[in-house]
Amino acid sequence: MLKIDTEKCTGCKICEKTCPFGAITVVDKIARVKDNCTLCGACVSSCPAEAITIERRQIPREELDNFSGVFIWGEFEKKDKNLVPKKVVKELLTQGRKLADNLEQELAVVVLGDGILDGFEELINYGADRVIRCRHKLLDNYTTDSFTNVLCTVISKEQPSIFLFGATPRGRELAPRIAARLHLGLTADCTGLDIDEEGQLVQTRPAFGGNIMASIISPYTRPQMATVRPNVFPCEEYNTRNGEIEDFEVVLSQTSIRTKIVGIEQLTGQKEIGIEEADIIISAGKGVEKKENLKLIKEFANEIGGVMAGSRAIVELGWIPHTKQVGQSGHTVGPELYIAVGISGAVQHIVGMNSAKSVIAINKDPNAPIFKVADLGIVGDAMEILPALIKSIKSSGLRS
Amino acid sequence: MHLLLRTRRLEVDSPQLAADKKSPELDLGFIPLIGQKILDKNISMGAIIEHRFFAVTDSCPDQIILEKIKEQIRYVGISSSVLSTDFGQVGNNCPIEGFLYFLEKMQTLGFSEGELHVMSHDNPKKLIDRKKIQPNKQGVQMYKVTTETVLSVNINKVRCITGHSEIAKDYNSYLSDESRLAHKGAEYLFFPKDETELSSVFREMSKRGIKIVLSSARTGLVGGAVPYGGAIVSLEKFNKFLDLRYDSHLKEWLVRTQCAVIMRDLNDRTMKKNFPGLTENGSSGTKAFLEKYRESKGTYFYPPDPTEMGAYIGGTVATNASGARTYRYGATRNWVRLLRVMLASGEVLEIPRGKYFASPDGEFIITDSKGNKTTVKIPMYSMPLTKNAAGIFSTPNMDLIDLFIGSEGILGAITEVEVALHEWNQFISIIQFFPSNEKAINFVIALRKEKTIRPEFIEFYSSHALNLLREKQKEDPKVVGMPPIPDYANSAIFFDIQFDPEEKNSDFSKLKKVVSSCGSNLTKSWAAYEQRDMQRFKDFRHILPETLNSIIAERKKKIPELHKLGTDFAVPNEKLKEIWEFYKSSLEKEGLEWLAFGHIGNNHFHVNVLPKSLDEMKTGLSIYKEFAKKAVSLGGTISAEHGIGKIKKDFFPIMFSQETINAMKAVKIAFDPGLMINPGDMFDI
Amino acid sequence: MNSDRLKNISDNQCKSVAKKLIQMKILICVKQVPEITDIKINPETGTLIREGVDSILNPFCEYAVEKALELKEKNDNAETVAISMGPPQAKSVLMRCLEMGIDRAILLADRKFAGADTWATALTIARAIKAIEGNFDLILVGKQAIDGDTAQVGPELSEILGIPQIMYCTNLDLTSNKKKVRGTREIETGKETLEAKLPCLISVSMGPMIRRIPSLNEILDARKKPFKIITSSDIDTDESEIGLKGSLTQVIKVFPPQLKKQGIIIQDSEPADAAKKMIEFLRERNFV
Repeated sequence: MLKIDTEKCTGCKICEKTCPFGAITVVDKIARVKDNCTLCGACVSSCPAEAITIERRQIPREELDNFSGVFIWGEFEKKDKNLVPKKVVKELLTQGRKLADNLEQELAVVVLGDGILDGFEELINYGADRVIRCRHKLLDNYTTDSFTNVLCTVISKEQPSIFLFGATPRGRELAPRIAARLHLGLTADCTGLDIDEEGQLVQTRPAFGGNIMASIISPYTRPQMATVRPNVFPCEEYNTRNGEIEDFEVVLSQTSIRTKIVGIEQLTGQKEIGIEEADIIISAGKGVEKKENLKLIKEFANEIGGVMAGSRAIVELGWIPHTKQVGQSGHTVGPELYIAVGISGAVQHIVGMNSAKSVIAINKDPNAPIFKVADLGIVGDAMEILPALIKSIKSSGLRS
Repeated sequence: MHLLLRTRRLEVDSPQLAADKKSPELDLGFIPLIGQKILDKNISMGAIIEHRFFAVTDSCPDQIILEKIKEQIRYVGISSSVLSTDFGQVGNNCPIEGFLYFLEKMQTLGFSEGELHVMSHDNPKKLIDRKKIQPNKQGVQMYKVTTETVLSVNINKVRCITGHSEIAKDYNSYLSDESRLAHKGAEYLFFPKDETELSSVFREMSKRGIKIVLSSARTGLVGGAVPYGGAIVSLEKFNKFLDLRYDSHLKEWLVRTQCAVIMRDLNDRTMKKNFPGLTENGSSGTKAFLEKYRESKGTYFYPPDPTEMGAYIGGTVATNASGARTYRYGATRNWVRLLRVMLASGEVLEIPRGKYFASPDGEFIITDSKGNKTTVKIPMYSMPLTKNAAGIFSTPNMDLIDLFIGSEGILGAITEVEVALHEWNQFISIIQFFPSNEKAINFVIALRKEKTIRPEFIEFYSSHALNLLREKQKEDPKVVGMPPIPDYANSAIFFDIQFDPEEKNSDFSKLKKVVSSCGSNLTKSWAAYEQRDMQRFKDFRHILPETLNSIIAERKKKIPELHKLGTDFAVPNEKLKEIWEFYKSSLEKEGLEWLAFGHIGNNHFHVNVLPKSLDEMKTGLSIYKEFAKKAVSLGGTISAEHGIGKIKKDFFPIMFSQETINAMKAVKIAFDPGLMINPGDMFDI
Repeated sequence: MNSDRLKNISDNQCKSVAKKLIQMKILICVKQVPEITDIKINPETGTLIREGVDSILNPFCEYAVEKALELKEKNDNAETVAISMGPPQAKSVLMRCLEMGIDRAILLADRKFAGADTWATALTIARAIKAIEGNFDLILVGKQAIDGDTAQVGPELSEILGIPQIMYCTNLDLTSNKKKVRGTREIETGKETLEAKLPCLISVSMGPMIRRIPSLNEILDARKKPFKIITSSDIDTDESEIGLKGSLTQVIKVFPPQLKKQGIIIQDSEPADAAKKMIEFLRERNFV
């Protein structure tokens, strides 16, 4: 139920401009709600007098079944002139496809942006039945307010049963905003998504730094929302699939956007691959002892065609930027090869690299937990082993 | 065994002395010392004499002259004396006042605080704590010990690196210890993994006449683990936790480990109540104790806290290591309850405390598995009253375990240790800053006097020490791990006192007063009570010796003969100011780069000279000789903590007479006739 | 008003009243968490072993407190208030905040708050802020709690309070007119700086920091600073909205993680030999 406090309402008409459905109008200096209100909540946060509230009742089971569809936020990046969907979106589509098939519901991906928004057909090949395009000038750059408003509108209209986001920095701040606005249960950083016998989405995630796993459901609210870490699910591409591309009408006003970008700094070079995308990663931990020793690591990474990363410990020491941090409070990586140098292997770190296909660990401490997850573990001083290794690779002309 | 002979009555506790009942009245108070022979005999058997300060009353008007008491105490000896009074009668002072009066009077007669402490605290404690000493049911044979034989194994099974160059190339770290004393290489490097392998190494090296250096964590500061050729035996594989139990007799929790358990790990496990090895592999008895330990409300820790917590527990026992907390809890010796020692013969002595005592003639008789007997005569001398790590321990009728504690490995290799734990309380760590060194020292003296404040330890940072840390902070603040040292700080005192974080109105008024009386205030301090922050404070203290070592290492690159010059002297409490002035003036006169830090609570702080040239090092060494002489003359010791090793041998004769040194050498020869183990440590034979 | 009385109101009094009216108020939401690096799992029951694990102020929250103190200094001694929802023991982390220099602390402690998921937590805190603090200029929170790692309470809180958010900031500053805040935040490829009008919520990501050490005086004084414990009856909530009842997510199972299987370990090897083994491995799997 949408409630308007007539005492507080000043008749400023901001809500009228913000509502995507035209469901609120100002008459005689007081706002009034019409029947087509979907409770998307766009007006609530835009009202400067805080005169609008929504009373939600929790949805009873019968009504839960009114919600159908597995939706995914199609986050993408602008690389030169191209719009490139993030790898995690494809991973979500692959997993989403399984969920949708299980529930016998459709799988859709929602993309927001400005301009033509071309190039998302390939998402159909990853399993999407529908690509929903939301286009608006104000969606050209990501802002939390605009994306929250639009996605809430989409959810209110489409009524999906599940909405998934990649647990990227943007995804992790956007999803909770939407969940709070719509009073929905949200689970962060899921490493597992399944459907149980009652058709509920079972969301599994690490907790306590990764020391335990928890399975969670959102029994009363729809859509069930979850964010998923990159490099956790595999992604599969089909050869051909059928699907539709649809445009969704967007209403947005500048006043609803309360943040603006005033500066940008690129730390990853344009040519450099982010660690989340790298196939070979050499990761350094506190056991490396000195910042200068990272030179050796970098040299080795170059020899073998890999990228350098590190644990939270060395990021906190300021030896590498946060963009290269692997672990529970950093990035999740899923390379073909992960070489851990001087990393003890606390669970919080392992959670970030558990998806690596092959793992080599070098550490002086034979009891270091990293050895439990390594395919090849070497107890020794990396500062002595790596030079020998680099020499061997160089001399025998082996290269990746 | 200790008996109490009262000045009025003879208390008979043993059947032996009951036989002496022919002279039941040994009245030493008023009558000149008759029965002297009997007195002497009793004392040599461990009897304690009580010297009572009488209250003069109408019914007992005789006077006792204090001079007489002094004479008698000096005759009998401090270690065999306790003090008492009989105050408390109507019309006289209450017992506590009376006792304080007595103590004051004793001070004016020339008894030091340390001596009074022994007679009014340490010795009475030993008498009361009878439970700590188990009466030996066998009676008098307590000085006879037998060694255990150990199965041997083929020497080739023991992991060994052979050859000077091999060892120098890949195992360089085994050739030196924290003293950075130049080594002379080694031919063999052994890694025995148990007593069997260790025994075969000892036997084989003995057969071949090869000298052995015992190597643990190599954190020693006097070159004890530095090889001059021969074989290095690394004990690093002896790193298991063996047992945890509660001794209801001693009312203590005891932990038993092999010798290479790292000190830091020991405390980590005892305080976190987490012993994975024992949980998996322990006997059912051990598991039951583990359960009880975990459920007990209190937390426990191992009090000896040498600054270098990366040391192995075996090493700390071999050197009777001390640390900051020795101020309150005493040195390692106080906490060791059992040792297993492997002798040069390859056989093992298992020594629980309280089982083997020297005979009345001051001897132990050790019998090996083949029936060969060796007599070991304990050196008889008066040990200093300060914290001491120099020489071989000696008291009449001593416990055999104390012979090995502090013997620096020259008598054998310690393979297992059982130590007692103490209850842990909540503390707050405080680093109080002062505007000058002298004001900081005044604070230490005032703090010690203030009986309501009982610090765990008291540590000192001189102005030069703080400046060194400031420089390090400029280079890399994270290495030091503390906020920038404030500009007004020219000296600092670091101490822990009990604190309850939940308490809203903790009363620090006494401390406030003492601090302001010494020219500072409580806003000019750092304080922390959360475990991880207290650890930072400890690290901040430890970084000083580390920094010194790296500076020396740098300078050594240009001048290889250079090594660290540190002092390890301690003096009694009332001589603190005097020794500080002496250190300061001597060093400033020569214009040397120096700094001081450390356990000022025990009047034992390290004065380090950073020589820039060989000349400066020579000057430093000769100044140190003067320091040693001064410290000894003030009633102190030349090595409070670090031991003698190879570096401090020159100071040995300053402290001990040739006779005593010969007696100590005789002990070494008795246990290790082939002079195989740790040659050149403590003294040269 | 009597003109004489008007004359007697001094310039300074006006200034101090004015100061109080324009004094900035910064709220910092903090959480007590177990020291994660020490946590182990009981292999038999699959549950957490929490003995011997210290409870600490969440590191990201502590960094938020540091940032608040920086702002306090730069902005005419702004008023800072630390708020935490937790069991009574959580008082110790609020004590830490007070020792660091925060002016006041509030602990939301009530059995009824227990079992809250991020939504119910955010709701409870939002209601408490409305009831107790009323107006504020800025809310600082840590990027995530190291036990939950969801990073959800911040955005949910700012949504309920109807204020904008800037997340994962390593730096923040007020604009010169004190009406807006600028936060530099981490994104995958680097950093971007966002600006928003106050009131606003900022979540703070950690930079290199040497944790502050208070003086003994500050520790003793902290125990005299205003500290309030708030229960559910002090704030306007219905039982159905808070704690477990108010949670929209439910945990249905907890189990130990499935980690990769261990492979071979090489010990006691010379560096050259170890390198050789690595090359073999890499060759087998076609990395070289």
